Amino acid sequence: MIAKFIRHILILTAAVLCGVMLLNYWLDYYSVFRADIARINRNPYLFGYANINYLSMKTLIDNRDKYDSMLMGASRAGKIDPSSIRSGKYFNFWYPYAVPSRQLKEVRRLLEEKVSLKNIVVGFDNSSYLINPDSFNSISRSKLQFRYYPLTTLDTIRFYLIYLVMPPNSRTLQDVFGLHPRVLGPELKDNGALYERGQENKIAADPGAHVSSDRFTRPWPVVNTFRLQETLDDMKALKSLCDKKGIRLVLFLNPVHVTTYLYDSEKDFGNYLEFKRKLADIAPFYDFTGINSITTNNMYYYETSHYRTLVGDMILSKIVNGRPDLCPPDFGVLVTRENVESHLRTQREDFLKHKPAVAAVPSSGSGL
Amino acid sequence: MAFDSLTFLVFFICIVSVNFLLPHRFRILLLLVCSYAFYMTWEIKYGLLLFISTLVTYFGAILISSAPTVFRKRAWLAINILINIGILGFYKYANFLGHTVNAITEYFSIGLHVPDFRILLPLGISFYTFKAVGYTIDVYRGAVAPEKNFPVYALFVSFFPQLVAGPIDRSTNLMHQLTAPGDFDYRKSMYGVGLMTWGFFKKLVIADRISILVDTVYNNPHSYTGLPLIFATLLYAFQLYCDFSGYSDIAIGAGKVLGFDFMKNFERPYHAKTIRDYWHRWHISLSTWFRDYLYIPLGGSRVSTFKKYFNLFVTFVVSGLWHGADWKFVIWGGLHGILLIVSYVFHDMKLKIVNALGFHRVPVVRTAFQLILVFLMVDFLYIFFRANTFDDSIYVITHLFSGLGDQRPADLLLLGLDLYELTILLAAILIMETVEVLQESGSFSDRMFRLPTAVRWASLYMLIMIVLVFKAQGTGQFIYFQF
Repeated sequence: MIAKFIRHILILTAAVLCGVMLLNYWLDYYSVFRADIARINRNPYLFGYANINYLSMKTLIDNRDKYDSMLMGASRAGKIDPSSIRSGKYFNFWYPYAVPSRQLKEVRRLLEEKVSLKNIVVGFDNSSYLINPDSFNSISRSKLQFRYYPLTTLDTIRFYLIYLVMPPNSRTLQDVFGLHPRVLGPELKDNGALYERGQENKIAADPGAHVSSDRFTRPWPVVNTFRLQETLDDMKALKSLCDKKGIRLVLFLNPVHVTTYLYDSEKDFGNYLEFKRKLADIAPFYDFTGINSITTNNMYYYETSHYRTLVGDMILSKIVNGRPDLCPPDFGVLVTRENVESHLRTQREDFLKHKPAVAAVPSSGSGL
Repeated sequence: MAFDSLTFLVFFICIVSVNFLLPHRFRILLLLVCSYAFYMTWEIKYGLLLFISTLVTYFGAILISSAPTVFRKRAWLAINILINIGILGFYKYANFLGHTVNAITEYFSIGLHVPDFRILLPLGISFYTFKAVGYTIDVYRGAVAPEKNFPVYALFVSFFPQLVAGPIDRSTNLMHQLTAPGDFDYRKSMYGVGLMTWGFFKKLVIADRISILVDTVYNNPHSYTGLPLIFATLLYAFQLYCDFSGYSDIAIGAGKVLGFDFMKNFERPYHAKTIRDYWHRWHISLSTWFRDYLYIPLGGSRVSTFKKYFNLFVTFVVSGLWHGADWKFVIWGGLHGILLIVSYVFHDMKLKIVNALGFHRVPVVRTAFQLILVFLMVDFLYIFFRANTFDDSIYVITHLFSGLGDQRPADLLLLGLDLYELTILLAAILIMETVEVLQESGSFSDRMFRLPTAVRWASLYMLIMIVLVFKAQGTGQFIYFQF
């Protein structure tokens, strides 16, 4: 009798597990089984949980002849639409919390997959060395949308297994079936760029309300770890790989809104300058950070972390399209070994001059 | 290690697997070790307290049984009760007593201040203390012989499914099952699995979902008037019931899987037609404990009418105090006692009114009226139970009907549960009520086992899937753990 009981419990457990797996496959909450971009564009609630890293890697591998260049970066760089670039067929390979160590592995994997790459443009942030990529390997529901595209066979098995066995919840069903008030969400374009449809419509409808919104008083810091040297090593490795493979590498630092920029402590800001100093030693880069006519104007931002698509166009005009005239003169400096010290000195002076005496309260959406 | 954690499920599956592989004599030791391990996952040192309580009552029962005279038996019983209730009183009521003394001395401007003790209430102490004390009284009364086998007795006190929130089982029911465990019963174990799943459904899908809304309102009651207070209070009745009866179902189910029959703790309390009926259905193991070990020794109902009502009142006040060291619980218990007394006093008048209104000719209307009235009375008194402080409970009561004219039902969607979550909640309550109505007309387990195997398994499977998918986000602790 006991054997029968155990047998039946095992069968029941297996059936429940199968049910959960089938349900997960059918719901595909994180968009890793069908990679259906049209579906997430239709449903903003589903968009919020889509694994963008996976979707982008899969798009690039499945369309290895369609693109020959990439724009890489975290969510800030995601707003850049590369369709204006004439020097290559660009895909914006952005995903939340992108860091150089992962980007290096992904470039290697894409090259192994015979994706032809002629140009790589990488947008960095100070968060590039403040995020621990390993933190996204935990088996936690909140981290599932950030899991990286699997790079090894064992990784692949683990990757799909986690998405299959994590039980869906009532919120999953609500999001998948759109049982929410209707809102216009973002759109992930064919070339990978993220267009914030809903937010752009709101801004167009009432620019005054947008500019004066109190969200611009709240900084958006991202702090998880401190791995400056490791990050620089990864960037050096990326530069070597690109040089070896004949890929043109362009680096830039994303412009961050002045509220978030000035939120750093003097020590943290000093680290940022140190990062820039060492980065200039690896390769020249465009620095769009600092206090300039773009970062101090709320009209160019959705909040204090993410700039709008029109700012992305300005960045591209300066760094790849050869049209610096389309950009304000104080926006973006090409930093090289030669001018790095004077550039950093100016930035430090500006920072100390403008830093408020009382620290602002961070936005609730900031951090990890 | 709470019942609704994955750790407990793994722990339980391991115990079940090993338990039936062992010879009978080793099962007691296994369950005893596992029970202490289960308890000590919360706080290791509390295991010592449990052990002391066990040791005291073990030897106490032997001394009571072997005492040559009634006087000595009584003396040993009194010492035993004093030690156990003393430990419970120290941990649970020392600060309450201190605060009360301080309030009185402050009122009379007496310069006396009792400092707070830095003590934390050990989990389940009220439950296992009552279980152990009940056993010594049973031995004193000769209802059971003292258990000489210490591991068996220690397991009786500490058996993990009952340890932290009951049911407060009786030695007359459980001890003989522990001394002579029966053979494996497939049907009982499968029923246990079903009951555990049903308990998880009540706790995770209903109680935890309601707690989001109730906590929003009751943790900040002064921000609300009228409709939100009424809605939260109505839902709290279901939260409390599903939370505690859910726990009891899991405990009783776990016992059944291991081959034990624990005493029943709930019998559809909101189907009660009178307050008396309610107390026959709510937290049965505690209310019968008070009946057998307090109300009857006080004289019960075989005394003058006044004394009987006095005994009832005292029993309910003590029952309120058992629930928590706070005057709001005392008031809650006292008001229940008064309600019962009123129901006795006006019993005849009530019948006359019912007959005069013609309700006796339409039993359905009469029953519905009774059910609603009892539910509303019980639910109203829950305000004292749920409110964080006595002042909060007074605020809620005095503002229940304030501002109703300006409020819209849609405002209820701003209390933490949106329309989708409320729909899930109402559907879950409907499922529970349907099952409970079916239970009224006979044993649910018999009914389930009469169904075709495929239907039975499909029902269990569906229930598990519903719990997995529709469990509320961010589960909370069981409410009765605090007692």
